[in-house]
Amino acid sequence: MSEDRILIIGGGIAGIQGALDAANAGAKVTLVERSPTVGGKMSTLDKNFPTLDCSICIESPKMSEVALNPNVELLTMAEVQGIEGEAGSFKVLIKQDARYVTDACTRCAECVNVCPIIVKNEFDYGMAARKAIYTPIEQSVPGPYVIDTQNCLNDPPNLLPCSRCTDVCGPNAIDFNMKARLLERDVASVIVATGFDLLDPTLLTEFGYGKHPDVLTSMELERLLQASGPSMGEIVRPSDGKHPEKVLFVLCAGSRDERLVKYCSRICCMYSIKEAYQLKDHGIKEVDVAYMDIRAFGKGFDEFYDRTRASGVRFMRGRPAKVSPNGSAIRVSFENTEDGAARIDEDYGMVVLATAAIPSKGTEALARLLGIGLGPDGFFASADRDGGFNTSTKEGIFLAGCSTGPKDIPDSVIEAGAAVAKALTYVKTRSWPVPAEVVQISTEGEPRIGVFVCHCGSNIAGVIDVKAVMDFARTLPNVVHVQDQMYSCGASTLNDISGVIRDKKINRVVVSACSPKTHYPTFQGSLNRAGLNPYLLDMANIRNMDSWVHKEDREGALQKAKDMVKMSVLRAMNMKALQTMKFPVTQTALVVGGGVAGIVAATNLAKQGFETHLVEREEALGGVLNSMSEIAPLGIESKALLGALIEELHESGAKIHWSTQVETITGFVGSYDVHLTDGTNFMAGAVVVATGAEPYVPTEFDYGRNPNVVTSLELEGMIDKVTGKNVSIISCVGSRNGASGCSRFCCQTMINQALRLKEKGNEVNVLYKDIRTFSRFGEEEYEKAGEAGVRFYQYPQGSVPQDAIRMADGKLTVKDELSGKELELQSDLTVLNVGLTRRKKQ
Amino acid sequence: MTAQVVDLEFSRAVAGGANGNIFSCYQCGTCTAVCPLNVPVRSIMRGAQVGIRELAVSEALWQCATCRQCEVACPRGIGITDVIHSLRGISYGERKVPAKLESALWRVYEEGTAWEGKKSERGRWAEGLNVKVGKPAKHLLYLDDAASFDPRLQRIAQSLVRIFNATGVDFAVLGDKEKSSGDEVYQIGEEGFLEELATSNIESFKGIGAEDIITVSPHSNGVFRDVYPRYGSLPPVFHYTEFLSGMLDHGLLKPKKANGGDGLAVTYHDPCYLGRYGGVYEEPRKLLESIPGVKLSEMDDNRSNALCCGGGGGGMYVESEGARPSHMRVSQAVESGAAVMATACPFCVLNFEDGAKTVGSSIKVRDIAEIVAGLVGNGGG
Ligand SMILES: Cc1cc2nc3c(=O)[nH]c(=O)nc-3n(C[C@H](O)[C@H](O)[C@H](O)COP(=O)(O)OP(=O)(O)OC[C@H]3O[C@@H](n4cnc5c(N)ncnc54)[C@H](O)[C@@H]3O)c2cc1C
Ligand code: SF4
Ligand code: SF4
Ligand code: SF4
Ligand code: SF4
Ligand code: SF4
Repeated sequence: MSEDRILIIGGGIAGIQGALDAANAGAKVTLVERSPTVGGKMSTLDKNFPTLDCSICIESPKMSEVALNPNVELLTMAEVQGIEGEAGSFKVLIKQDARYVTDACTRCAECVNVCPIIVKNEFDYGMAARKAIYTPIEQSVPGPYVIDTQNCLNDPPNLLPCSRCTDVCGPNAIDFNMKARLLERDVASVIVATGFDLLDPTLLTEFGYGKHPDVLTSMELERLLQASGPSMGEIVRPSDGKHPEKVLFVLCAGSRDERLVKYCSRICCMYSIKEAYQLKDHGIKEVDVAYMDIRAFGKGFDEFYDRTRASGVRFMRGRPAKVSPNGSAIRVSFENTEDGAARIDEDYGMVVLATAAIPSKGTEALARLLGIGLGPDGFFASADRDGGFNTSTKEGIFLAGCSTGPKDIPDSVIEAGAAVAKALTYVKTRSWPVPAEVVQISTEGEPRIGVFVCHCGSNIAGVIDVKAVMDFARTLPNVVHVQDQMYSCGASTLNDISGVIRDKKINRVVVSACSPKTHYPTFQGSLNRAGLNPYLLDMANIRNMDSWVHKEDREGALQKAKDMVKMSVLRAMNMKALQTMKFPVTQTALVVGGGVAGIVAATNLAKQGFETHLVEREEALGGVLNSMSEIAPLGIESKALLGALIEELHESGAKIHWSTQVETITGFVGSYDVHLTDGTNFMAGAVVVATGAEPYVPTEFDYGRNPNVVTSLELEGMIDKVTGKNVSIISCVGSRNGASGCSRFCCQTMINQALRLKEKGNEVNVLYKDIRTFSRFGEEEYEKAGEAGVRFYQYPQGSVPQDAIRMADGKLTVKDELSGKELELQSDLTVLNVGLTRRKKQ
Repeated sequence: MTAQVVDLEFSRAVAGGANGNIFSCYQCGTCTAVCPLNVPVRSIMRGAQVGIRELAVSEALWQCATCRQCEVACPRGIGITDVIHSLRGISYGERKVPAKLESALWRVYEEGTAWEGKKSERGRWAEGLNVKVGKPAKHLLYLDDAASFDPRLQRIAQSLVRIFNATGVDFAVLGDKEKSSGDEVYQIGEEGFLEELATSNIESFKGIGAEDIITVSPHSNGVFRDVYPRYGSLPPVFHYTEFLSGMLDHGLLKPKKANGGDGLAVTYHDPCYLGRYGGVYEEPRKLLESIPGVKLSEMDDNRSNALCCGGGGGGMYVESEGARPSHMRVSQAVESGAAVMATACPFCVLNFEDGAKTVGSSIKVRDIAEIVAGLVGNGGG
């Protein structure tokens, strides 16, 4: 039956999140990942910007969940080989290579100790070695080890050369007779989440990669930073194992470059800022960043940039021309365009290249196989009339995450959800299989407590003596089992916990690890599967609340850990089994706001078969899009896009309430009582708020009093009627100032408007802080604007436009950072490029 | 500080003379950092983009050797030397040209040569050699000024004559009738005079009726190929390394074993006008490798990344203070372990011999023609 299944290709964070969203919505999922573990790049990162959350700690529970969710069929070491049929009923052929290790593997690593073959570990980006039998990372999902027969001495079926691993494997998990499998699956729709790769750094000849061992890529540095990585989190030079004193980050390495990658890779500014911050935090004396524009466009990004600056990281505007060995040091030639106009030759102990993100290997072949298009940048093409990136050029096939171009984790996750919403519209039957009934463990009588102490790599064990905590736990009342685990949240360790609960008849569980906020449901799963009531779990957060914050005081940290475990154990003794009740969720949805986001949300919900109400305050749908003529940087005509989206909305059967607002909403989760101002009342199970934001109304630059000062939004309506010759556009008006962050779309708008004005014959000046054309095709538009003759002036990054720019008598005066001079420009029309701010009355 | 009014008129004029190629420069500074002559290229670009004269027009313009290292390094693919050329034209219009370059211009005007020398003595280098002068021939060998007049550089031309005679090539030279190619005139931006000179050169080339022109200096190649077509048509122009490498292909040239014996380490410096301008990288290497016993050792920066000797763009005529790029290049040659530093341009030969003296290196600087000449025919050593 094909109506109930979605195929997801690629098991990075986008694919994982997509699989979980779809599975929880009742669809069956086949998740195809070509490497031996899911997780993608995120699982090899250390911390995530801008919050500095531990990357794997957030991803690991999700990785485990895809392996355990009964709606998900996880196929690793697998690739799609063929597809037939059409949207709603595709037939796919999948080839899965042999792993040579069965599920019986206990991850004891005995085999690794005896395997004589040593190769570079690609999951450590070559920073460490592995054997021919190995596990990619500690938290690999699925858990069994894997044999890479490319390097193994055996060449199945020839097993004569070596039997070292089979000899030592206790559970007899190694099976060289395993064969590759061909599988056929019927699926209703497909999501491509194949992610990205990184540019081969040896192509960057001028940046010295491969000529000096201490010239690294950012990914290699991530591995060094990671507590469970090859250097256990120590920042050391590969050449001599010493800490570098002075480190340079080179941004845009290969990106924004005619010769390699024309686009902006979008994530590297932020991850480099993050890494620079961490190095400073690791005590490295001098940390420099060579940048061209700082593209800190997301929520909290500018603040993080400011914080990093304040921590002493030196940012220099300029692109190095040459990086080469100078004895044991690394000589870098560059111009710091922020001060002076001459070459500087400086020596560094380590240089980190933020290499460009490129389409993942095999993208072209996969596009051909699936019959979907590619964009000029080599990533998968999106359908023209989508407005977003989720819809491929073929019906029923959707795109998520970095498969359409580099983006950060939050954006990849959001796209995964959006792709699932679309893919679900083809799914006709949904089901939530109940796990096989397990015999419930009695919770009556004396509490029998099991304590699991997690190392979290070296996150906990690096500071706290785990053994001592275990010994102490054994002395606590009613504790019948104590065990430590490298990563308690790993898929196989979660199963271990279930097994131990059953074997030892444990009826209260204490996990001494990290935050219950992120991991409580994960460990509840272990209790559930063991047949223990999931509320008989307590967590002691000895990581976030102890080892992370008391790094400097090991003794104190140990004492605190003991206290926390003791408190947990005592709490556990008093815990009672709780029963959950089930309430039906009303199968009706309310979407508030009929802008482009609300329209798409309502369409997808209605097409999935839910009764859907869309409420719009104005007479017409479309919101801000109504006052625009063209959407940057794709150059899509707003009217046409809106027309197409509204048509689809009408077809979907959603009920539209124009000129209406929500009067009251009462009730609770799954069951809201909704009253609209048009008199309609109904019950809704889910509410989507898509009320958008308001264009900023400037008070700066005499706006409202001077007829020659307009906003970018107003320019949209009058762009063909501009009379003056000289037009100036001022960026970031009302944005990037204190509480209001970067509005992130307006640089694209500005470039697009500048280009259109230039094409009409105007002289166009753009006054900016940073040019943030990070969107797909945005950088290409920026370059085009330059080629067309738009002139760019940079005002100081740390200022706001009204302080940096003076306006009088049709002239603007600005201190131009690029020339170091105070310049006066003719400006017959001054356009204030405004962002969006939160709605005032709501 | 009073604000300075941007001069858009000026900016448009520069852009006009540089194929418009100035505005997509995003001011990254790579060019400034790579320039071997310490030209503040990014500032010049900035001045040109938005119309700040004093940034764009200064002494620094004349330091530029037009070597194109900056262009190769520029991530936005800006034609920087076009911009420099455009600005030089404007600067010349304002009579702001270094005195030495201006006197070179006068010499071309009066004596037909930018290099020190007299019209009537131009053909002397060939005295005593078996050369057709001014007579019809299959190939025209064109020397340009430096190789005609400089005693050290005359040896390059003489070497070529020797190779051609030993291999039976039918060629002629123009002798006293040869005039400057006008490279320096072009570099200064004196377009009117260049037209006159080019027209007269094209005329005298016709007199030989050759199938092609073979040049000694890649700098002549540059103007012939990139500028002359504006003024008239020329037969195809080849640098002699291209021509000799063609002879190798046809088995017409078979150098003997090198004097240094087996394993003579030779490094090759790519002249800017042969490499980055002409795209000729492999032919000179092929010539060197065709010599039995020669081991080619590459310098760190080679081919399109080769450093400049400092001689182009009028650089041979301007005193450059401070930066001496030829020293750096000689040091690289020494580091490569070579005993001989080969090149294929008269300016390079002079600059590197000078450089080797200053850095106190015993490395031998030779034009490829000189090396090959000793190894053809009956001459020996
Ligand atoms: C150095 C560095 C630091 C970063 N730091 C941060 C950060 O701090 N915060 C942040 O938000 N983001 C960060 N990122 C970005 C982050 O890595 C991405 O947003 C995220 O990995 C995107 O997830 P994805 O699933 O789209 O792609 P990927 O992580 O690339 O996953 C794609 C998966 O698809 C698989 N695959 C590919 N092709 C096929 C195929 N044909 N068949 C089957 N499977 C296939 C791959 O094996 C891979 O597992 C960083 C990136 C880098 C390079
Ligand atoms: S394959 Fe066997 S020896 Fe190797 S980790 Fe698994 S159980 Fe241990
Ligand atoms: S500007 Fe773009 S390509 Fe350059 S470092 Fe920043 S995000 Fe990466
Ligand atoms: S113009 Fe907009 S997108 Fe650009 S930097 Fe300013 S606030 Fe950000
Ligand atoms: S290298 Fe190119 S883009 Fe960069 S400043 Fe120089 S000319 Fe401009
Ligand atoms: S052409 Fe050469 S000398 Fe001239 S500015 Fe560029 S790098 Fe410097």
